[in-house]
Amino acid sequence: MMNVNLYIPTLNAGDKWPELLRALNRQTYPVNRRVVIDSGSTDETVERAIAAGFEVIKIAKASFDHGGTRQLAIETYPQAEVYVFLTQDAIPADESMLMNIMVQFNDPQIGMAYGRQLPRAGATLMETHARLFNYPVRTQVRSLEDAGKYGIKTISCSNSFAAYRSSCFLEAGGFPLGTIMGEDVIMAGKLLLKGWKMAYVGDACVYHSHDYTIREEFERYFDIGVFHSDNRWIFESFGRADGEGFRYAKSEIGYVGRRNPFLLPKIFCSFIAKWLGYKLGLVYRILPKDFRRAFSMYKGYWDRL
Amino acid sequence: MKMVNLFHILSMCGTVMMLACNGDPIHADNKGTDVGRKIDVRQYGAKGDGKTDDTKAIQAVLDSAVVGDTVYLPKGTYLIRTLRLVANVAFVADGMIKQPPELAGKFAIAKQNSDAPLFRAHRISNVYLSFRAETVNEALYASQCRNITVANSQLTGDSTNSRSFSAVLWYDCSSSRITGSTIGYYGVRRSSPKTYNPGTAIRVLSSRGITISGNELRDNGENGIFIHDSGDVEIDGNRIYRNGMSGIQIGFNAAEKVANYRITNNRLEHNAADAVDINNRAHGRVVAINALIAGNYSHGNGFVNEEPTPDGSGIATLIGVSDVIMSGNRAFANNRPALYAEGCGILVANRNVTDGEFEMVGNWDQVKMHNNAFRALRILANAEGNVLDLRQNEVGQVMLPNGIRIDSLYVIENKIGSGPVNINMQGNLKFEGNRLKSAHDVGALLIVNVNSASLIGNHINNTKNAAITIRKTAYNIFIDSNFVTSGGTWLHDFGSPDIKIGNNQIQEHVETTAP
Repeated sequence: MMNVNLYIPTLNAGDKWPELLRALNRQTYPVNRRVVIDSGSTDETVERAIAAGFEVIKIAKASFDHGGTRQLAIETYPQAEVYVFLTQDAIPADESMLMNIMVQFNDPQIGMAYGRQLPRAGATLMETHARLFNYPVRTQVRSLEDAGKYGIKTISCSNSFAAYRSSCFLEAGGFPLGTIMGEDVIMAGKLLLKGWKMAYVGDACVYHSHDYTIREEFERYFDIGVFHSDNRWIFESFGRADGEGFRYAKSEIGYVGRRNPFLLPKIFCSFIAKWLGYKLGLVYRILPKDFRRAFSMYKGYWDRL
Repeated sequence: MKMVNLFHILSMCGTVMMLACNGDPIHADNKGTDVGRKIDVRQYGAKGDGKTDDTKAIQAVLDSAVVGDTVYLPKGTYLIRTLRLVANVAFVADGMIKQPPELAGKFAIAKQNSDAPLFRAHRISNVYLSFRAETVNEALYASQCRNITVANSQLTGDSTNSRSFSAVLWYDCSSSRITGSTIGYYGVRRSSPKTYNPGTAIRVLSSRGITISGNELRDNGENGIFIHDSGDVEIDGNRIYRNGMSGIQIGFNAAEKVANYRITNNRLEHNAADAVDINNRAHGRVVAINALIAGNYSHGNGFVNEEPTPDGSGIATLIGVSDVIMSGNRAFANNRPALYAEGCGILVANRNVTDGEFEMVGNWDQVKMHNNAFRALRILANAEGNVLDLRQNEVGQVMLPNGIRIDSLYVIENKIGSGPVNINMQGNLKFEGNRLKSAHDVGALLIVNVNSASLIGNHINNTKNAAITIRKTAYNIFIDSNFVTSGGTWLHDFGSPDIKIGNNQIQEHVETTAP
C-alpha cells in the first residue's frame, strides 16, 4: 500500500465536521498523517480534529490562500507517496472512498485523481443537477491527448476531494500561490503538460454540494471569470469547451423543469447572475477595486492586492 | 444585434450598480484598506508646488504614521529626493512626484543600486504604494523586505541617462508584487543592433515570491524584467515592449534558488532581444527550474530600427535548464527561432503557434513537441538527446544534420509540409502516421545509420526520385501500412540488413504536381 497523507483546510467546520471525522475513521485504507490547516476557527473544529488524531497547523484567517495554504500543509508534512485533499464539508460516502481513489495510483502514469461529488442529503434540485451533470458514474482517465476532444474540461478537477502523487506534485512545483481559485486546475494542467495522466474516479465518492443564492452564484462566477482572465494560458494550452455552458443550461432546465417547473424562474435568474458574474470577472481589471471585492466570493483575495 | 448588445450593456450596468450599492455587511468587515488614517501631507507642511523640496515634510509624516495609516499626496507636483518607507504604512499619491535631476546616478555592474532612490525600503513589511513619479534613479529600491506592493503606479525614468538604474529594484525580498503599473523610459533607447544602454523596468535579485502582473513595461534601455538568482516568480498579463534587450531575462548564480516560474499571458513586442531569455550557460550544469511559459504572445522581437540584433527568439531562449513547459504561446515575425534550446534537460512544447523555427543545440534529455504549428524543426550539428518526441505538429520542415545521436526519436502523426526528412543518426526511430510532402531531388524520407526504425501508416507524397531511401547503414527497418505516391520508385533500398517490408499502398512513377 502507498503511504498517504490527508490534508483538510478548515474554518469553523460546523455541524458536519464530526460526521466527516467519523467517516474518515471508517476508511479501510490507512492514512499515515491527517493534517488540518485551520484559519482561526472559533468553534470546536480544532479540538475535534485533535481528538480524532489530526495534526493541526494554525494560520491567520487573513493569510488563507487556496494554493498557498495547502502548499504550506504539504511543506510541513511532506512524507507521503500520495497527498489527499478534502474540504471540511466533503463527507466520505462510504468506507472505501480512499481505497477506490488510491487504486488509480497503481497505474504509474497517473499523477492525480479526483473523486465523485454527490449531492448532500437534502440538496435542492439545482445543486443535485450540478453534481449529477459534472460528476458522472463512469471513471475516466485523461491525458494531454484528450485536449482536442474535451478542451479545458480535460483538466476539470476539484480539491474538495483530490489526490496527488507526491513525486509529480513536487516535480510540477506544487500549488500556485495567490490565485483566486483553481489551484487544482492549474496543477492538473501542469501535470498533463508534463506527460502525466489524471483520473476522475466515479466510485470514490463524497457528499459535497452547495445551495447557492443568486448572489452567491454571481460571486462564484465572478471569481471563475477572474481566474480565467488571469489564466488564459489554460485555454491556449487545452482549448475551449465549446457549447458546454449551453449544454449545462439545457440539461438543468430539463432536469428541474420535469420535477418542479415553478423553479424555472429562479434558474433563469441564476443563469443571468452566472453570465453576468463571469463576464464581469473576465474584465475585472477595468472595475474599481471596491467593486472587485464586492463582486467576489473570496473577499480576502482582494485585500492582499 | 445592436439591440441585444444594448440590452446586455444596460442589464450589466444595472446589476453592477445594484450589487455595488447592496454592500454585504458581513463581507465588508475586515477590509484592510479601511483601517487607519489617511494623512494628507499638505496639512503637514508639504507644498506640492513643484519648486519646494517636500522631502523633509513628507518624511516627517511617514515617520509619525502608525500601523494601518495611509500617507496621501493630493494633486500637485512634489519635489522629493528620497523617502524612507515605514513598515505597515501605505503611501498613495494623486499628485506627481519628481526627483531633482542633480541626483541622477550611474549604473554599473559593481554598483547596481543608486544612493538616492525615490523610495527606499529596507527590512520592512506590509507596505502598499500607489503613485506617479518621474525619477532620475530607482522609483523603489527595496531590500530584505516582505509584502511590499506597488499598484496602479506610473513610473517614468530619465531617457537621457545612458547608465540608468532600474525603475524598481527588489533585492532579497519576498512575497511582494508590482501590479497594474506603467514603467517606461529608464535609460536611453537602444539605437544600435550591437550596443545597448542600462536601464530596466523591474530588476529582481535574490528574491522569492515576486509577482509582476498587469503592467506595461516599455521603452527602457535594457530589459523589461530582469531576474537573477530568484525563485517563485509569477509574471502574468504584462505588456512588455520596445525595450533595449529582452522582454524578460532570467539569470543564475546560486542555481538552486532559480525555480518555480510562471510566465503567462504576456504580450512581448518589439523588444531588441528575446521575448523570454533564460540563460544558465555560465553555470555549467543543467538546472531544473520548473517553469511554465504559456499563453504569451510575441511579435517583432530582435530588431533595432528594423535591423536584426543577435537575439530575438519569440517563445523562449533556454540554455542549460530543465523542466520547462511552453504551452499555448503565439510568436510571429521575430528575428530568431521561436524556441532556441541549448543544452537542456526536459522540455515540453505544446500547442504553440509560430511562424518561426524550433532550434535544438547541444545535448538534451527529453523534449516533447506536441500539437504545435511552426515553420521548421532545426537541430544543429553534434546534437545528442535521449528522447525527442514530435507528435501531431504542423511543421514546415524537419532539418536534422548528419551525425547526430537521438536514442529515441518519435515522429508521430505530424504534418510535414516540405521534405526531405533526412534522418542520419544513431538511435531508434518511430516514424508513424505522418503526412509528408516533398518535391526535393532526394525524395521525401532518407534514413541512414539508425539502430532501428519503424515506418508505419504514413502518407508520403513525393514528386521526384525515390520517396523513401534506406541506406545500408540503417538497421532493423520495418515499413508497413504506408500510403506512398511517388514520382519515382517508392523505395530505394541500398541493402539495409534485416529490412522488413509489409503491406504498403504504393503508386509509383506518378506525375504529381509539386506540393
